[in-house]
Amino acid sequence: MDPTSHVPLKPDAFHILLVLLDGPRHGYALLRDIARSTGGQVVLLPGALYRRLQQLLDDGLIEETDDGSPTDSRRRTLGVTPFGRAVAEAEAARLEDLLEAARLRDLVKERAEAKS
Amino acid sequence: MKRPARTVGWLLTFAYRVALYAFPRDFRMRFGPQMLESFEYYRSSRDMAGASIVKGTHGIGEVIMQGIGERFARLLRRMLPTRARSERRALKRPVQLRQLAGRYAADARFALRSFRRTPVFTFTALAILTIGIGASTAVFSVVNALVFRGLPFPDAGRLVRIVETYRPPNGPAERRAVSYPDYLDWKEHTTAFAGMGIRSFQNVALTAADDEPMLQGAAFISPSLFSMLGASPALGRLLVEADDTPGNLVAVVGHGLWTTRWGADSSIVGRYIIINDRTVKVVGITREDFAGAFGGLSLWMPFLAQSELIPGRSVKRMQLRGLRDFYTLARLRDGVGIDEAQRQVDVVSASLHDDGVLPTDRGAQVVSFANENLGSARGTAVVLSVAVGLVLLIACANVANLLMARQLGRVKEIALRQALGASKGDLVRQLLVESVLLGVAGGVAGSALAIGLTDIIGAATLSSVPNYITPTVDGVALAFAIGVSTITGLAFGILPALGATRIAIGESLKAAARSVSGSGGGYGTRKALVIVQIAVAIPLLVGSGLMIRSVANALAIDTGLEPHGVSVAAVNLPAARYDATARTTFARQLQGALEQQPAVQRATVASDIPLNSGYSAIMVEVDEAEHRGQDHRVYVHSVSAGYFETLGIAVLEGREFDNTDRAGGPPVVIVSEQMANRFWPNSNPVGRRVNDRTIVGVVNNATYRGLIPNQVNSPNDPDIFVPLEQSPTPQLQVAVRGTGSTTQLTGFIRAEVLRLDPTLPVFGVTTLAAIVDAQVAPSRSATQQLGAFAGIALFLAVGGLFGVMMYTVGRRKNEIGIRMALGASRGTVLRMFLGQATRLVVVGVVTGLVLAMGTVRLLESQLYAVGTTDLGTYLVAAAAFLAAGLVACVVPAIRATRVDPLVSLRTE
Repeated sequence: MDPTSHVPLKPDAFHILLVLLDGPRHGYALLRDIARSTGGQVVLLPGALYRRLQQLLDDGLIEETDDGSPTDSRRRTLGVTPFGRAVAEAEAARLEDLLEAARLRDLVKERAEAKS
Repeated sequence: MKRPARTVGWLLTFAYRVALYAFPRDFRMRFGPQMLESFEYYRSSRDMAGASIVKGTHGIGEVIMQGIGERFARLLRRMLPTRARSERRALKRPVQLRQLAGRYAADARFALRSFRRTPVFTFTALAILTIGIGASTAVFSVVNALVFRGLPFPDAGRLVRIVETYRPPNGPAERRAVSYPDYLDWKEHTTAFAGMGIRSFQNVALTAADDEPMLQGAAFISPSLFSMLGASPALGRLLVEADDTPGNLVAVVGHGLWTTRWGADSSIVGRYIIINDRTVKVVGITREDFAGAFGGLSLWMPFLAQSELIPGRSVKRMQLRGLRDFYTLARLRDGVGIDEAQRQVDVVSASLHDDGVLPTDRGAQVVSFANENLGSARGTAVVLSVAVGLVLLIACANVANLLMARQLGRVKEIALRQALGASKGDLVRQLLVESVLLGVAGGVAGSALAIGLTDIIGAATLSSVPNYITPTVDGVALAFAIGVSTITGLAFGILPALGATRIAIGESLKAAARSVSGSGGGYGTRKALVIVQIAVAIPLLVGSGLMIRSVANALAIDTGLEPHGVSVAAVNLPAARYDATARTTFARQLQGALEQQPAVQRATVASDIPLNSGYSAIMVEVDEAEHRGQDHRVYVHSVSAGYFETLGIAVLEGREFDNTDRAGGPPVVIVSEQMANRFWPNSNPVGRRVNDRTIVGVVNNATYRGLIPNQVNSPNDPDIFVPLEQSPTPQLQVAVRGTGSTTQLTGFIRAEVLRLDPTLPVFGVTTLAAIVDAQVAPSRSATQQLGAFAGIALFLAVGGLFGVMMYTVGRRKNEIGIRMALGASRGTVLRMFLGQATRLVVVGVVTGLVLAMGTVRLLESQLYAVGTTDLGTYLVAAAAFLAAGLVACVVPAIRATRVDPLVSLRTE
C-alpha cells in the first residue's frame, strides 16, 4: 500500500500517531498524553477518539499489541505499525512543504526566545 | 460531602453506559469497556480543566453524538460507492443520475400509497411532527428576530450608547442616565464617533383639532439621530440641525400616529397641533417602516424644544451636570472599536474629574446598542431553543417508535422485496424516503402552526425588547422549518430503516414471524427509544418546576403593600398653567372630591406609586454627629395625606402626613424603616432631622423599584417622603382605596380630573394588584411556555411508553398463555409487566436527572431564590414521571392478565 494515499491525515489522527510513536499506550493514556502534549489544546473525547482508533486499526496504521499483562484483557495497548510510521512521515513531509510555502511569504514568526 | 460526589459519579457512569448504546453493537463490543475507562479518566483527571459533573455531562453528550455519527457514516458507506467498495461496485452496471432520480420518485410514489393504507399511523405521526416542527419553527422565528436579524437600522452593529456609571463606595457600578453637559463634552472631545445624539423621552398632552387631549409618548432628540438611524420622510421633511434651538417648536409625526390620529391626512404637514398647551408646527411624517430607536414613540421634536414644553426643563436647568435624565445614541467611526471609544470617553471623564466638575465615583461606559436592547431577551430565547430542541428530539423518538411498530407489520413485504433482489441499500433508501416525506409533510403543517405560535412565544420572550423587534415566520424561518423537517425525517427514519435490513429473508418468509420471546424485531431499540424520550422529558420537567418555584418565590415577596381594592391613574399638569400653587390646589381639590365618594375609603395624590413609575434619588444630609457633612443617596417621594393608608403601608412610629403639612408650614419628612435602621439603629428617629426637615414618622419598608433586587433596585436603598404640598410635582399619580369595582373607582378619578380641568388627559389607569403582578409577568409567561413544552414532552414520552407496553403485551400473548396454563396467577403476570415497565421508567428517569443537572444551569440567571440543584424539584419531577409512567402501564398490564390461555395457545 502507498503511504501517501492516506495523506493528508486528519489532525486528530496525526496527534494519535505522534503520541503512539513515543511508545505503545492504552486508550485512556492516549487521551491523557494528547491533551498533555498539546498543552490542553486538543482534547479528544472518548467517542471521537475511539472512532478514529477504529479507522486507524482498520486501515492498518496502528495495531493492538499484547503488553504481557494477561490479567486484564481490556487493557489492550496500541502501537504504530511500520506502515503507520510511513504514513506519519509522509504527513510530516507534506506539512513541511506547507510550512515552507508559508515561510516564503513571511508568515512564520520566529518564536519568542523566552518561551521555555 | 463525600457521599453526593460518589452518587453523582455513579449516576454519570451509569448514564455513560446507557449513552454507549448510541454506537453500533460491534463497535460497542470492541471498544465499549475501554471507552468507559477513558471517560472515567477524563471525568476525574485534573489534567483537563473543568468540574467533574460538567466534563461528565459533556462526555455523555459527546458519546451520543459520535455514536449517531458512526451509525450515519456506516449507512452512507453502505449507500454510496466508496474506495473500499470500488471493486465490488465495478462489477455492477454504473448507476446513472437520471436512473437514481427515477428510483427516488418511484420510492416516493410507493411511500404515498403505503401511507394511505395506514391512516391511523400516518395521522398520529403527522400530528406529533407538526407539534414538534411547529414549536421549533416558532421559537426559531423569535431567535431569528433577536439574534440574526437584529436591529432594523443600517449598520446597526456600530450603534452604541454612552451611559454614565456611578460606583458606590461598597458595591458594583450602577448605570445612570446622562446629563446634557456630559454629552456635550463627549461630543466635543472624542474622535471615535461618526455621530452622536442625545434624546429625552416625555409624555405630553397632545390636542389635535377639537379632540379631547390625549397622552402621547414623545422623544426630544438631536436632529442628527434621524440620519444616524437611516430615516427618510414620507411627507414633508425630518428634523435638521437648525431646528434645534430653544424657541423652535416643530414636530415630526410618526406614520402610525398620523394614520390613527389624523386618518393619514396629508394636509397635516404645515399645520399646527397643541402639545402641552403650546402650538407646535408639524413639518413632516416618517415612513411607515421607520421604527425609531424607541418603540411606541411616534412624535419627534428637537431636543431643546423641551425647554419650552416640559416643566423643569429650562435651558438653564439642562446645563446642570446633576440633571441626569437623558440618553445618548452614537455611531462608531468605521474602523474604531468599542474599546477605543471607551478609552477616549475615559480620558474625558478623567479631565472632568481633574476639573472637579464630576465626582470621582462617576464615569462613563460605552455599550453596544444591540446588546443593550436584546441582551436579556436572548437569555430567554436560548432557554426556549434548548427546550424546543428537546421536545423535537422526543417527537423524533416517538415517530421512530411508531415507524418501527409499523415495519413489523411489513416484515413479509420487506423480505419479499429482498428475495426479489432488492439490496440492503435499496431497502434503506426506500424507508428513508418514506420518513423524509413524513418529515416534510409535518414541516408544512408545522409551518402553518408556527405562524400562530410565534405571536404567543414572541409575547413572552420579547416583553423586554423594543416593539419594533417583531418575530415573523419569514423566508429564513421557513427554510429553517424545511431543513429541520428533512433532518428530522432522516433522524427518526434511520434506526427503523437499519432495523429493517436485519430482517433475515428465510426466517421471515416462513409464516412463523411470531416469536415466543420478547426480543428481536428491533424490540431493544424500541425500549432504548422510550428510555431516551423519558430521559429527555425529565430536564424539561425539572426546568419548568424550577421556574414555577421561582415565580412563586417572587410572588411571595412581602411587598409591604395591600394592593387589594386599590385603583391607580396618572395625570400630568402642564407647566404653563400650573405653577407650584396651582399644582397644590389641584391636588388638594382632586383628593377632596374623591374622598367625598361613598365608595372611596381613602384617596391620595403623589409623585409616584410603588413599582409603577420612575423614581428619583437625591443626596441628603442627615443631622447626626457621625453622618454630618456627608451626602447620602436616598429616594424621595412627594406624597399627600393618606398615602400610606391608601396603599396599605404600615406606619411604625410617629404619624402619617395630614392636612396640616402644608406649604409654608414646618418642613417635615417621613422615613422608611430601612432609612431609620441605617442612621438611627438604636433609637427612635422621630424628631431628628434630614435636610433640615423634621422626621415625624417611620413607615414599613415597601418595594418601590422592583420586586426582585437587581442593578437598579437594592433592598437596602433608603426612601424618604415629603408632603406633596411642600414639594409639588407636575407629574401626579392618584390612588384610591375603595369598595367599588375597578371601573367605578377609576371612573371617579377620570370624572373628577375632567371636572377640575377638561384639557388634562388621564392615563395609566390600572390597579395596584396589576402593577405588582406585572413585575413577574415576563418570567411567568416564560414559565408557561416552558411548562407547555414540558407538558408536550411528558405526554409524548408517556404515550411512547404506553405504545411499547401495549405492543409487548401483544407480542407475548403466547408466552403469557403458556405461563398461565402452567399455573401462573394473574397477579404474577401483572407484576411481571409492571416490573418491566418500572425498569424502563427508572432507567429513563435516572438518566434524565443526570441530563437535567447539566442543562438546567441555563436557567440560572432567570431563577429567583431557588438553586438549579434544588433537590425537591428534582424529586417532584421524578415522582411525577414515575406516577404518570405507571398509570400508562396499567392498561397494558391489565390487558396481559386478560389473556385466555386456551385462545392464545390454540392459535400457536
